[in-house]
Amino acid sequence: MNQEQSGQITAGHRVWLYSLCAAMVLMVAFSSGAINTQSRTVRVGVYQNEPKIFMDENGHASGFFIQLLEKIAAQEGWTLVYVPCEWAACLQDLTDGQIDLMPDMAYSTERDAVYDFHKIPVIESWSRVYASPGSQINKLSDLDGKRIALLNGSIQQTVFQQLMDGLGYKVTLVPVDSYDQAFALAGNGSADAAISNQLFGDYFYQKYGLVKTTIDFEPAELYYATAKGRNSDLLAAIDRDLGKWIPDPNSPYYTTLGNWTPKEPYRLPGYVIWVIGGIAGLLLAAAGMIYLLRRQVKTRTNYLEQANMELQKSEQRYQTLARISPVGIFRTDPNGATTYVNPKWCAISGLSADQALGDGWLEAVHPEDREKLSQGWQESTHHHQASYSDYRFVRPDGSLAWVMGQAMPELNNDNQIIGYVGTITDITERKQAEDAIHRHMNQLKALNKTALQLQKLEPAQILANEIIKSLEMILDYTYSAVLLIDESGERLIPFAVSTQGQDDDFVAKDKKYIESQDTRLGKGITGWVAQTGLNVRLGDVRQDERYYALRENIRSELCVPLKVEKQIIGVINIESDQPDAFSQTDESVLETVAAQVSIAIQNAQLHEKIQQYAVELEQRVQERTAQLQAANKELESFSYSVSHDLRAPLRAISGFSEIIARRHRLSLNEEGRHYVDNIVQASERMGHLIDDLLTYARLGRTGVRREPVSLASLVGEISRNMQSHLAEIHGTLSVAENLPAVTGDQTLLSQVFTNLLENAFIYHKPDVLPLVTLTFYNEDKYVVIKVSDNGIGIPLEYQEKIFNMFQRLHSEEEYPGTGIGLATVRKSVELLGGSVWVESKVGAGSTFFVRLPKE
Amino acid sequence: MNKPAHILLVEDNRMDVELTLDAFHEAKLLNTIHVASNGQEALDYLFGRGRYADRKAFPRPNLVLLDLKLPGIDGFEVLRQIKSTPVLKRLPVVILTSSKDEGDRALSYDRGANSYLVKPVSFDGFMGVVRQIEGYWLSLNVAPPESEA
Repeated sequence: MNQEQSGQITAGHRVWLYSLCAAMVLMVAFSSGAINTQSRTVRVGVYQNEPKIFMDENGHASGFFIQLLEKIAAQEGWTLVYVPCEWAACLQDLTDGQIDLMPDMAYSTERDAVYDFHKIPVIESWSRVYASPGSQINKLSDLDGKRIALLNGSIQQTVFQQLMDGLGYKVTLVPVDSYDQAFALAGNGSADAAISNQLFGDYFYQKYGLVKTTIDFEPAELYYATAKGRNSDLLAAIDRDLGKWIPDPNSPYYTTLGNWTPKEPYRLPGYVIWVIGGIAGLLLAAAGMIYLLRRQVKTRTNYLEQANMELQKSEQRYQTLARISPVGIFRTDPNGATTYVNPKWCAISGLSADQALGDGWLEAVHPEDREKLSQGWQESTHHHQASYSDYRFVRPDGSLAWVMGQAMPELNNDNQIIGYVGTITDITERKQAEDAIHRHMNQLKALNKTALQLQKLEPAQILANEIIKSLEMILDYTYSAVLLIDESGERLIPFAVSTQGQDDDFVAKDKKYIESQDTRLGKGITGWVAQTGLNVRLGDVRQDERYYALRENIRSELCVPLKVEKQIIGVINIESDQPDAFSQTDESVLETVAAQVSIAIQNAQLHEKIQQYAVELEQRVQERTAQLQAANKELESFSYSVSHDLRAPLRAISGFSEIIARRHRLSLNEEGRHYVDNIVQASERMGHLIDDLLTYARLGRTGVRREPVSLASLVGEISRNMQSHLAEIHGTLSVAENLPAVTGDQTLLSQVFTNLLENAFIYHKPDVLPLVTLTFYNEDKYVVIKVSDNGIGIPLEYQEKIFNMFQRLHSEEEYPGTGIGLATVRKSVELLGGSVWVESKVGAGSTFFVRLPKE
Repeated sequence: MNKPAHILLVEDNRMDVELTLDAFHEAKLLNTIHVASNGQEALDYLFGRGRYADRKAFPRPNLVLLDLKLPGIDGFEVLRQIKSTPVLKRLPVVILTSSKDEGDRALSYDRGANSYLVKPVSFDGFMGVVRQIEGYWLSLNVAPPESEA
């Protein structure tokens, strides 16, 4: 049980209060003594412990305990006399009998020994922590490390300290002399919290700006107490009344209690004014607000009216736009059922607005496009995005309209689809143009392929088939044919006809059929084209007088000429059973094809001719070769004959005449001797001629060998063979060293140089010793041998002629020679791939040049 | 100096024969020359057939002067037979022809001719050749041994 100390009261106050109370007591004593003895006079101690018990400014006792006691006193008929005192003094007075009753006494067993308490507690009390707002003290553990203001020397203090120690919290205690002080400190931040009983605390905490916590401890029960053994009737009366009142919520107990546990902030004086002021203000405000609201409503109404007008105008504009729009506009509900279409939409699709509603529009979409369309729609729904697609409407009249459509989902505020809005744009023309371009592209591609195919040289039949295949790739037709002008120049005959998917037999028969018709130039479209060389393109053949029906059911025809170097060789003709089947583009394409085909046909024809010629040529060559071979053979035998058959009689003539000339010389007269000498001479000459002729004739017949020949050894051998002769004529032959090797025929080369060297010594000046040099110089691929002599020389005009057959510049008597030698040299050298010429000056000698290939 | 040799001259041209014999005579060569005017005769002589069976009258020759151009069996055939007959093949055969033809030369040597001479046109030349033939083939050249047959 704690002992509460009273609040601070100054000595002056005390004296004043005491005197006042003393006066009052006296008065009451007198008055009460005078009135009646039935009313019990109760002297009550009053100390300062607001709000439980205290003397107010006016010196009246107040507080919960006092007011409650007054209610009890009224009930019991007591007369209360208040004795202000300090706590300890009050207790002493109670013991001394100066006062009868002491309120706000906490029960404890120690006290029970000294005083008497009634049974039913008046009220419970406990210590509570009130925290300054910023201190963040909410629970017991928050007290750790805080500064707490509390009544100095109170049991509260002790218990609190014990409590903190027991919990291990370090608190800084700020001892004060009154609750007010404690609260003030907590309020201005000098302490973090203050501790008081909850009756004080709850009553005053707001005044100091504190915060009520739920940190409570040290509960106690409070009673009225008397001195031991005295005034027990008072206690019994109190119990009696409390026993009646406490269970009854409407009793004076609670009324009284209500006075001393206020919830509102402690603002007694200004409160009312504020309230009144507030109410007045509210009323004003309300009035003002009503006025404002009215105005707002008015403005808003105006605004709405205007907005409505705008909306109407907008709606009108929209309607107008939709009406005149060049694109079709439509709206659908969330399921895709059409709810609105504009006039243009109807125009494009061919449906009326009514027909389009609901799913009617989908019926008009081309069956092939429906799938794609609904897929696009799904996607759009999923992703809340616009969908685009190209699709076709099938109009009621059967024609197609290509449209480019787009649809957007319409979303409400909750992002849900409430429908679709979209447009369709008529792109039929564009599509047609695209189609035309596609077709054209395909044609060009096919043309390209065709060109490659047609460039190949092939026999005519294969070519014809290739052409037809190409045409089929490029153009759409029922029949096609390539007709060529025949040799007579008067008729067109079929070169290639379309197979129509049939076999070769059919095609052959077809061709025959065509041939059997009158296909003269000039007759029919094809004849006309073949004659004039101009294109013909008809959308309806029956309207053209030139048309000559070869087949039934033809409506369109396209025919272009085949030309080679401006000459017409035939036509390509294609026919269709559709009207207007061929466009300008087709015509251009066919012209290109025609150009390629013309060339191909010409090539094929030329090729055939060439092959024919080649065969003929081959034959002729073979014939000629055979002839030549025969001729050659003849020549061979001729040579053989000459060498044997001519020589033999010659030998006889020569031999016998020599014998006569020698042995029988003396039997002859002068003339006889002379003539027989002539015979001998002539025979010799003939012998030489025959030898040389034979040599010349045989040149190259057995083939000219091409092998490396060492000129050094070849010339060396010739030189050796000439040595004896040279000795006789006192001639000198000087041969250069390091003569190179050449490529040629050993035999021929030997002949050549023998000839040249012999010649060089024959044509010497009479009184000069013949000197012949053989030298050489190199050219790039040749070597040039020089045979130089110091002989008589050769006049310029003969320097070429001397290489001719039988060409001699001198008589036999002057210089021996057959006139065949140099001809043989030249022919030999040329057979070896070289050349020979002379440089000479009359009287100064000659130099013969022989150019021979090294390789 | 060898003992006088027997030469078989195979030549169809009468005049050439005359000239050759004249040349031998003029050159004062002491050889005995037998003449066959065609291939068949030549072979008969060489093989000692027919009227040449008498080896006393027609002794086997030491040298054959063979012309290539012969009627009937030509010189090449005669040459071939000579050179492929064991008893005859050692016999020196000198081709004496007017042909310079390479083919003829080749064939002749191929068939085993021991020498190839071209008949000169002039008589002097002829005499020279004859002398040389005698000088070389019958004097200088050592004759082959007799064949066993």
